[in-house]
This record gives sequence, C-alpha cells and structure tokens, in this order.
Amino acid sequence: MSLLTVKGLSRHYGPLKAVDDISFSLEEGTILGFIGPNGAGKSTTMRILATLDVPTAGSVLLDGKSVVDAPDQVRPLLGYMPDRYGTYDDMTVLEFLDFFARAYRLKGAERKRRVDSVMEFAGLTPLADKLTVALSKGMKQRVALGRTLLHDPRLLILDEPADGLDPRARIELRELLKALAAQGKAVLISSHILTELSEICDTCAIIEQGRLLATGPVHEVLQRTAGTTPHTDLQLKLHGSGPALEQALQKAERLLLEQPLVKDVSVEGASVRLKVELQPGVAPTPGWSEEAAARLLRVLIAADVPVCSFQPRELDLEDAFMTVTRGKVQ
Amino acid sequence: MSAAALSERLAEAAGPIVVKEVRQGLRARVFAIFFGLLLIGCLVVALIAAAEFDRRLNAELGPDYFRIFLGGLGIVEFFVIPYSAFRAMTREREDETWVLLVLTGLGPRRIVRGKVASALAQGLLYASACAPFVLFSYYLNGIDLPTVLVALMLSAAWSCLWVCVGVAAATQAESRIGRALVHFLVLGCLLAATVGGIAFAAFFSEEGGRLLREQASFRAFCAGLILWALSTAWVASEGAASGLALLSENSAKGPRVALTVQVLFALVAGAFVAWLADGGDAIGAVVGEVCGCIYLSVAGVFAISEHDGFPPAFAREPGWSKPGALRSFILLVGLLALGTAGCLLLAHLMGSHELKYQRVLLAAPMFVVLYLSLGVLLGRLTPLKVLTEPVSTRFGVLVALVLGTLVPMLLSLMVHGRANDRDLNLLSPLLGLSAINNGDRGALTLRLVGACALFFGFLAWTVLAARDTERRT
Repeated sequence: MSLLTVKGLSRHYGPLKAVDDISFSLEEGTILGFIGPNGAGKSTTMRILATLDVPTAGSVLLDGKSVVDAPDQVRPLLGYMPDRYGTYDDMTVLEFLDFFARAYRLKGAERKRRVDSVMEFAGLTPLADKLTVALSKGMKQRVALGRTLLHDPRLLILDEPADGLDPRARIELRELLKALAAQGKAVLISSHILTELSEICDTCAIIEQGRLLATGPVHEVLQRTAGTTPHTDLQLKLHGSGPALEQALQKAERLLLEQPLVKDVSVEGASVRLKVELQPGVAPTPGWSEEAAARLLRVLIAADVPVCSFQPRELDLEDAFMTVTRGKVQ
Repeated sequence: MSAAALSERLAEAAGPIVVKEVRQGLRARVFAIFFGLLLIGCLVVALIAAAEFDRRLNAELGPDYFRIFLGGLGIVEFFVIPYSAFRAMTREREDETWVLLVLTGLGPRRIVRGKVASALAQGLLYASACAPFVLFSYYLNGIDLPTVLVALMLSAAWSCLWVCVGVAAATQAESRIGRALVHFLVLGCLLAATVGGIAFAAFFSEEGGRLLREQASFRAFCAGLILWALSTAWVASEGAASGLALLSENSAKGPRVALTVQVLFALVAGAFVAWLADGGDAIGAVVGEVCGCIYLSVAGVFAISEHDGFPPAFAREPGWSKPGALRSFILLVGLLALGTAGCLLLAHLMGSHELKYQRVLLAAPMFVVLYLSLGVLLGRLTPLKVLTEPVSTRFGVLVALVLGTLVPMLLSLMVHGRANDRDLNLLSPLLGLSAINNGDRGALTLRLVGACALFFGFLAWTVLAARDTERRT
C-alpha cells in the first residue's frame, strides 16, 4: 500500500481553480519531484497535504489516515518545510532544535538523543551554539530540515528547499535527501531547478494551472513525453570563436536541416541541438539512430564544419517539463 | 534534586512556548533596560522616602509613595509587557513560524496560552522586583494592606487583559498594511490603557482604602472590574487562538463559548449584586447594560466579520459551533436579547418601573444591532467588498458609525444652527440614546430605532444566509 494517496484533489478559491482534480501516490523510500511553473498549484497542494489547508474536493490519505478528517493523527507522520525557513533569529541552533523537540513532546534523554542525532545527520554539530541569524542560507536550510526530522516523520514535504542556495549547498542537500530516502522516508519535493530533481527523484508529477499533466516514475514520464514517433536527440559542439564560430554554426544548422531525418535544430552558444526523427510509418530497425548519427557526422566533416564533440543527448525532466507544460499561469 | 534537574522539570511543566518566550524575553535588550530602570528608580524613590520619613516621623507618606511605585510598575505592566507580547506574536505571524508550531501538535490555543503565560511570567519578575518597595510604602503609614493587595490584584488583572488583547490583535491582520494599522491601534490602546490604569491607581492609592472600607458598591465595582478584565482576557485569548487556527480547525467555537459564558456570568453577577444591594436604584442595571452593549458591539465587530460558510469537514458539527459569520451574527443578537431581558428583570427586581430606564434598556441593544447590520451590508454589498473579509465588514461598521454620527450632526447644524438637535440625531450612535429619554416622544423614538434595527438586522441576516449557502467550501 502507498504511504501517501491523493485522489481527485481540488482546491478552489471562488472561480479560481488552484488545484483541479489531481491524483498521485507515493511509496516509502521514494522521492517524488513536484514540478510546475509559479502559480501552478504546487504549494497549495503541499499545504493541503501538510494539513494546513482543506481541499474543496477529493481525499488525501497518509498511512490510511485522512488529512482532512484526522489532521491530528496525520501530523506526527509528516515533516513539512515551507519555502520560508522559519527560524528564530535570537536562538542558537541547539536551542531552536531543542525547542521544537519539546514542542513535539520529546522528553528528557530521548529528546537529547534525537536532537543530537539530527544535528549529526544534518552536519550542524559544529554550529550548535551559533545564533541562527548568523547562519548562511544553506545552513539555515539545514536547520529547517533538521527541524522537520526531529519527530522522525515518515513523509517529508519540502517546498522549494533548494531555492536561493549556492551550488555546494544544493549538492549537499541532494545528498541529505538521498540519505533520507535510503532510510525509508518518502520525500515530496518541489523545485524550479529541474536538473536537481532529475538527479534525485524516482518519480515525478508535473502540474500546470492546477492540473496534473504527467505523473509516474521519471523514466516512464520521459518516455511518455518523448512521444510515440521513434527519435533521438543529438548535441554537437563546434570549435572556434567569434565570427568564424558564428559562420560554422550557421553552416552546420543549414546542412543539418537539409537532411531528411532531421526534425528540429536549435543553436545554443557554441552547441547545436538537433532532433532526428524517423518518418511516419517507417519501422525503427535496431541501431537506426547510431546509423543516422554517423551519417550526419560524415556530412558535417565533409563540409569542413569544425566539429569537436558529437553525442546523443539524454532526455531529462527539463525536456519533459517543456513538452508537457504550455507556460500558462493563473 | 540538582538545580539543573529542577529547572528541567520546571521547563517540562511550563511547556515549550513559555520556556522559549521567557528565554527570548530575558535575553532582549528591552527587558534589561526596563528592569534596570525600574529597580534603580524604585531604589532612589525608596531612599528619598526613607529620608523624608526620618524627618517627619508621624506623616502619612504611604499613599504618595505607593502611587509612585505603582505608577512605575504600571508603565511596565500595562505597556511594555503587553506590547512585547504583541510583538512576539506578530513576529511569529510575519515569519510564519506559527504554522510550524501548529504542525508540532501544540495547537493554536496552547500557543496563545504559552505566549500569555510567558508574558505574565515576565510581569511577575518585574512585580517581584517592585514588591519590596510596594510593601515598604505600607510602613510609611497612611495605607493599609488590603488596599495594597486590591491595587495589586487590579493591576495584575488589567495587565493580563492587555497582554491577551495584544496577542489577539497580532493574530488579526494578514496584509502588511493591515499589520501596520493594527500596530498603531495597539500602541494607541496600550497608551490609553497605561494612562487610564495609572490614573486609577493614583486615585485608588488616595481614596481606595476609605472607599473599600465604607462603600459596598465600590467593593463590588473592584470585584467586577477584576472579573471583567479576566473574563475579557479569556475571550481575547480565544479570539487569538481563533486567529491562529488553520482552516482544518474550528476557529469559531472557542470565542463563541467564551463570550456566551462571559455574558451569562455577568448576568448572574448582576443578579447577585442586586440581591446584595437589596433593591436600590435601577441606574446600575442601565449603566451595566450600556457598558455591556458597548462591549458586545466591539466583540460583535470581530464576530460578524468572520468568513462566510464553512469547510465541508465541519458539516457534521452542531449548528451553533460551525464557523461562519451568519452563526456569529445570530449568537450576538441572541446574547444582546438575553442581556436586555436580564437587565430589564434586574431593573424590575430593583423596584424600578420608570419608563425612561426601560426605554434605554431596550434601545441600547437596538443601536448595536442596527450599526453592526449596516456594517455587514456595507462590507458585503457595496464597493467595500473588494477589501475582502474580515477587513471589509470591519471597515463597513466604521463607515456606518462615522456617517451615522456625522451626517445627522451636519444636517442639524445646517437646519437648526446647532449640532445636537434631538430629532435629527435620533439614529445617531453618539446622541441617539439620549433622545430616547426625551419625555413625550420617547416611545415613538424607540419604535423608530426598533423598526430600523429590525429591518436592517433582517437584511443583514438575509445577506449572510445567502453567502453562507454559497460559500460552503
């Protein structure tokens, strides 16, 4: 049985449908990336899951308990981290975590053990006596994550946790989340940084204008969004700089567009991205994409285009997101 | 038991919010400054008093110095501590840390209790610093211990009331502009409460002892004031918890229960006083009801500006406890009716059959219903509704009161050359009640006010009922 089951969830504010009939589920030990543009309904959904808001329709069950009918039973099972860290500036890290441990009714030695283990896990032990106001964004975010872990929840709901973090802090957060999933916790995470999500998420849900456009394991969503027509994406980089590179890029683009299998070509900096697609009705044979790539490379070399790298490009969540969404906001 | 173990036990018993708030409060600069100033001030005044007492051995210096000590303590207890409590809750709202607290399972009511308890604990610290000096004033002659004790009890109740009001006010505004307005309002109220409290303390230190000994009515007044302050503090703290409640929690139940209990208690207390007084003038019932109506109109502004409808999760709750402005409006009208019936009965028991008293007793709640209903209509049907709830209705009541006061006065000024013409000010919330006492036409005036209250009350009920059905989400 799934730890979290969301069925037909809707939240309307008058005529505005912030969340419109969305359904998905989440197993223990998995990380679900909640993807969508601003105003898509991610935070509203997360607030409902965290018992902070009530749905207009639909049901949300966490370990079989309804977040609407039994919020008090659900809260001990979840840890919610909003997009604002919510720390008290005039408390030290240790005081802050100790305060929340008390609020979670942890007592005596058990409380101390739990606070120590959370600080250890989040790498906060050396900062125990530092005021939270003096911490960097990344460290504040660790403190906030530590707070959500104090009562050992089974589901973590993290709203834009990587927002505003520097690359190192993001990588460290990614590792922490992977470790939490390895401990068996289910993690629901929203983020705008799709490359981040694609590296840690097992499943994803893409939402726009309150509607769920795609959901499931990441590779399945990628397959589905890639479409039914057999195709491959390639990326080539050219050598050179200035006007010479400009000319070479234009030449490569023109040559590639003349080839029958090339569907789409786009130039980004010194790279050219292209989509190679079989014609409708043509059955793909094993190795057709490699053959096509070799043929295209030959054409470019023969035309004296300075190719320095030519490789297939893996589809990622960014592609899926751009394919599925239409950039609409409400 | 070691000191660490004892403090740990105390902390466990007090609860996490109290521990946190006291810790933060004691660490704050404002505590160090005011605690230091209070202590130094009291010490200097005590030295001066000792020197003066040395010179004039039989002089009764007690009341004068008691007034000074109580004044100093009053500034801290009536202003600094309630304002600190207000700021603490405001910060919790602004930083949205209250959401995290609610998720721990503490619940809004426990959060509010924690905030209030920690403010009172800080108040106790200040009071304990000042206590030896207050006691010292007893040895300066001229003031007895019961007076000191009653004054301290009154101060404690007054401080508790304003702490709760401060905490409640901090939970009311959502927007930045709203918060700024509330901030100014709270500052104004606390200044007024401090000045009023210190002025009363000054009067009390001078006359309190004598009045307490000689007049039963003054003793009843002091007891009533303490009970009113404490029960209103309870209502305000329930209001604060309601302001912090999530949509998944019933925000209406607590304040409604508190308000109902308070009104019932006031009626019982009124009956008890009437029984003690064994008859007497019914003016007490009239004053009590007018004060009660003013109080209920303030409470009513918050009650009727609740959101319309209720989330489906509350469909199974009994009708009276379901959230929604409609039910609060009905409860308020019910409480006003109950209060009026009680006061009429009290006036009758006190042996008063005077028509003028009965008219005032009947008219006062009608004015409340009339202006609250106008507020509902203005806030929910006119362009004011763009402000959304609860601001629109609160603003609606304000507009109704201002227009209801100013327009008749201006008309009166233009027609008769004076602003207080009774005929034109019949429906004025400021001057209307005095017109009811206007001999011959009093009955007619009462009927007019009653008809207006009934008509607009019915309209407001219709509007609220329609919106309640429409917005049950």
